[in-house]
Amino acid sequence: MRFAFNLGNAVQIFVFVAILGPIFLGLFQNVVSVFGQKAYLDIAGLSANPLHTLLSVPGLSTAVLTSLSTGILATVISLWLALIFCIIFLQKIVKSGKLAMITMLLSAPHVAVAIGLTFLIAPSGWVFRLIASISNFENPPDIFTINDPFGVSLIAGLVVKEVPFLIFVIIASITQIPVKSYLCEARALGYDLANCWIRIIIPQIWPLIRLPAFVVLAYSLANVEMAVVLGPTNPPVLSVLLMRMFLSPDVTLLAPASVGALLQILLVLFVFLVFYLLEVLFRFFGKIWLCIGNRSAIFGIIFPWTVQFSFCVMLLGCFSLFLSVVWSFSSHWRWPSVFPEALSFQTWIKLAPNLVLFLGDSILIASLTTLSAIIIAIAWFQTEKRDNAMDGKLLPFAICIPLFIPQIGFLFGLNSVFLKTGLSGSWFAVIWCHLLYVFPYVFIVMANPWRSLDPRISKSASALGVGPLKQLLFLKMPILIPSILAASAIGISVSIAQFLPTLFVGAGRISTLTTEVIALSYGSDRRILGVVATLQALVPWIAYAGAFFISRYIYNNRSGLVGISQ
Amino acid sequence: MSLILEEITISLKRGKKLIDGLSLSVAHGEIFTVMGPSGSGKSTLLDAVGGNLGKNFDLKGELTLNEQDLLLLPPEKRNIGLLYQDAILFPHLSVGENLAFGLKDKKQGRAKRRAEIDKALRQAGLDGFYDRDPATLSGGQRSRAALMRTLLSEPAALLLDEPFSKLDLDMRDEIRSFVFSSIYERNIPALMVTHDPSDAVAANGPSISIQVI
Amino acid sequence: MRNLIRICLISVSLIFSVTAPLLSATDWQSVVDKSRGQTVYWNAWGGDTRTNEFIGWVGAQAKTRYGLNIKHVKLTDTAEAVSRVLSEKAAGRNSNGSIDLIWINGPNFFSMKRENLLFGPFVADLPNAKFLDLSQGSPNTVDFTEPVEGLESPWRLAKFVLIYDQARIKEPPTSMLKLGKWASHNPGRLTHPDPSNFMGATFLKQALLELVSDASILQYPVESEKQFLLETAVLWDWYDDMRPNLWRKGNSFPENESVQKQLFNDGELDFAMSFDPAVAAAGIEEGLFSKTTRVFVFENGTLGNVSFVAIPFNAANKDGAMVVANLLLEPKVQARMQNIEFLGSFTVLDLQKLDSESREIFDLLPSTPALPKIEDLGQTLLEPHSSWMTFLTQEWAKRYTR
Repeated sequence: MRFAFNLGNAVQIFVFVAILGPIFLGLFQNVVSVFGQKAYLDIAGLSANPLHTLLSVPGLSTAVLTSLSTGILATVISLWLALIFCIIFLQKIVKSGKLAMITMLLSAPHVAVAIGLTFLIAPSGWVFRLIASISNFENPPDIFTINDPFGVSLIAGLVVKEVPFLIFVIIASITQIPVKSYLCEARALGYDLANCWIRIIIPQIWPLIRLPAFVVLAYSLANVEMAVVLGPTNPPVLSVLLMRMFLSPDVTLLAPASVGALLQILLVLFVFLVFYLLEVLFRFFGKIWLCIGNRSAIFGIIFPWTVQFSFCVMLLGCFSLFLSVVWSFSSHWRWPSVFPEALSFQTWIKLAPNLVLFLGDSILIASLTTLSAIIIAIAWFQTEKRDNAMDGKLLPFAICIPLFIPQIGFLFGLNSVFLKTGLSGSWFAVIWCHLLYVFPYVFIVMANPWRSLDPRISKSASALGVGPLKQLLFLKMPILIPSILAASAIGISVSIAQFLPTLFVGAGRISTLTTEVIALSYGSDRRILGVVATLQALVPWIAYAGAFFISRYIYNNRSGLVGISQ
Repeated sequence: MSLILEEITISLKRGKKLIDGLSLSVAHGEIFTVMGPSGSGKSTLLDAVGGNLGKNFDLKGELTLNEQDLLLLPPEKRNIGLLYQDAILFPHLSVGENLAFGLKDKKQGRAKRRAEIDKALRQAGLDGFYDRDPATLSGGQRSRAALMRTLLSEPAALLLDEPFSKLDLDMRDEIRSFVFSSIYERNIPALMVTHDPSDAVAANGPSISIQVI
Repeated sequence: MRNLIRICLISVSLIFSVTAPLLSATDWQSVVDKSRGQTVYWNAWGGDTRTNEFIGWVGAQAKTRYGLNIKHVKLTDTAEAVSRVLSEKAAGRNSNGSIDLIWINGPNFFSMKRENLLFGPFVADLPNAKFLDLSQGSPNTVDFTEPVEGLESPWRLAKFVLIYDQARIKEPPTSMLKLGKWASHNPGRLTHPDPSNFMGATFLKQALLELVSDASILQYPVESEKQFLLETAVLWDWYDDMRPNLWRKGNSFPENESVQKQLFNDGELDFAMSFDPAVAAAGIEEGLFSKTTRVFVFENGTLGNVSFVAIPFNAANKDGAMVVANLLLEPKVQARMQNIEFLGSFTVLDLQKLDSESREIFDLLPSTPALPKIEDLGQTLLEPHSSWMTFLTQEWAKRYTR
């Protein structure tokens, strides 16, 4: 391969430094603070071995185990539900109401969904109010329906949020496979629909959705924002335990927390390895299973139930979001009332001056981040060489690395570096950190339409004497506006949802809807929490809806353009 | 008389008719040819018989195979094999595994099944192709493998949808005679749609022409 | 004998800590001038709506009166701010830090003071400090037995109270022991916040104060783990007995007092805890609590302390921070703080030192049935040395976090 310096390489190198640099810096700082504590802080009591200190943290083993079990179970259940939903999705025409449900859950940040779920399923939540109203128990039951020690509620929350994401991913990948003819063929051989999917289609989809599935896995294993609201408390999952250690005033905990951050990363990599080995095993035994010609109808019986369950899960999620809205407008709503005793705008009005600030900052950060991501992505597509083998597989994977590395694993270390350089607490630093998570999505959404743009358009423009910049601005960008709009919507929703990057790197000076929601989730006023959670879910949803309608408007008038639905 | 279509009418929901009152019967070991230009609803007819008609179609009439009413059965219960112009082999399985997937599970035991498949591969001139990736096969090899897979599932009837139209001219006769002789050998009814008159001649059976309505 | 020496040492340090004003009036004017246009990042626990609103009001006052902006950085735990200053120091950021003012006290103050993370002494420089009782041993000069030494300025009084609903509980228990007994008759209806949280630790301290053989030893640092275990054995015995009767069988605890308040409000619990005696009145006002909600204290008294504000050593806007600290001590501001319609938190000012006009504002403050009088709040118990809290929290985690 030739590495002559040209603009394309320069853009790629820039992207790598911008996207992967912070991760390496953060990890490096973690290692430094583990091994070079003296340089870290010259304070008495740091002589203890950080690994030893970490291991003696009460409940560490439980935290690791619940992290593992919740992360793995949530991923497996989400995958299963999403796949089966898609199977039915392709059979029947799905009502637009259900699609709206998926989009709403897809765009809502994890925290908003988690908060909504607590409104719904907590012992004093809506479900138990309903039960209390028909039976006659006086007080909410003393049972674990959220924050349970086994993380069941955390799994539920993750599933509610990840199923729509995976459905989206699977539908996109199914369109790349001639599903219908495979199904006809396999059914003619005597296999029922469910068997066809399990034996023929899913094995072919899996390589296409493996990366997104691993993103879900990494998130489920190491997220903070959902675990804080729904997860176990005594002890919490590992990521939350580490966040507490990082934020503890006890400096002696910083080095052990850094060890823990590395442990969290190892944990994720370990589970990746296990999943990979499982895949190898499945492939081996799966083929043997396929070759015995068994046509039993067992899956045909399970599937419809599973689909009903998927619908229930999504209905649950949407109803939770709706409950946030109701809480935000209620002026009195005490146990055991099923409906608010009175509705009013008072909470909204009271919070308005503050909300404007957070909302403004959130939207500003989200817009700037998304804008930079789109500009970088366009620069990339404009300069990339298609014949370069690295462009095909390796580069997209490298860009996605931030989605696989636990945030808790490097962000604190990164902030230490930012502190030294005076960047901590600056808008630039926060936007940069958001960019790590926004850019991969923007890149993926824009890549296909951009690369498959008819090259004749550019050639005929050149023949007319139109320069590259003019071509970009007046030809390519208008043609690709739907993909840019889709990328903007996703970029904004990803940025709005970021918690740890804002918390650690923003140094508390920059607060967004998400940091506010989590701070308030520890508060005692559900009405206020309802307002902020509603807003937090609303902003990305508006971004999605806006992108959809604008692009449909353009699409309707120019039938040659590619729609956002791609 | 085994595969019987009576007064089959297919129309788009709240739309135009594609097939109007078609009746035909196909005997065992017979290949019935349906001729017609593209757009005449030939493939739709096969979809109707095979049970793969989309939800946007309406189907009226009677359809029986060996006295069994097919209309309400899902495709996998009809016991009817398919052979398309694009011979579809599942890309995640080897050639042999594709055949094994078709082979009924009446045959138990790995060795017995393997012997059965090897025999089928030999018949199809694909000796030693068990572990080959389907993507490396030629068009004719794919057609034969797909046919063998279908036959291993022991269908009670066979539907052929322009099965030879994509093959090179020099292979077409060879594959055609292989397919047809396999059908005669198993003595099952076959319904073939094609727009190639030479197919009908070679089938040496009854045929009808349908037109665009 | 050893105790006597300790008391002498503390007295000496207290005497030195009472310093005379360092800045003259003109110097203060220059502080005010410099603060104009600054933005003070006030890191304060954000779990209480009324406090947040009060901070917002103070911000508006600062804007109109001094032309400076206050930005309330809402913390879920004050420790976050401490660790932020620490990591800034670790990274060598010795000026232009991200925090200008922290609402702080107790162990957080102790660790910041120990690590030299605080700016000051500055309290004596504040013109409004003249309204404070800064005589030696007064609550404004000792924070959890740690001499304040002018490094933090008081702004509101905190007293440990329990919240109950008269409609549900006729006669609330009058001591920790009785509260534990109550729980055994009413399993699942009592809990305390997680001891890693300030309020949860306070629950344990309050119990320890009642149960320990000699409460005076708590005024000195823990000598050794052995001493700690010996003195607290009675506490853990009591706790082990009570724990199965706690909410969720003592396997999970509310994150902090706000979450506990919400559980109380939902009827999941019969008691909540707070450091704000006006909490019940405020909750009724906000529409959170039922009208029959009241606070109560134990017959032998409850813990009490003072909430302070401190300025980190590397604060970017020290002048602005001092102006805000001073503004907080303004009689009018303190009166608004004590007004149940706004915050209802008791003033730290010595009313004797106010002129009659200012005193009258306090006298005319409205009252509600749910708002206790100062005399209803009983005796104030001194906070133990913060090392006790650290040990209690760690030991609790060791015993009950599995």
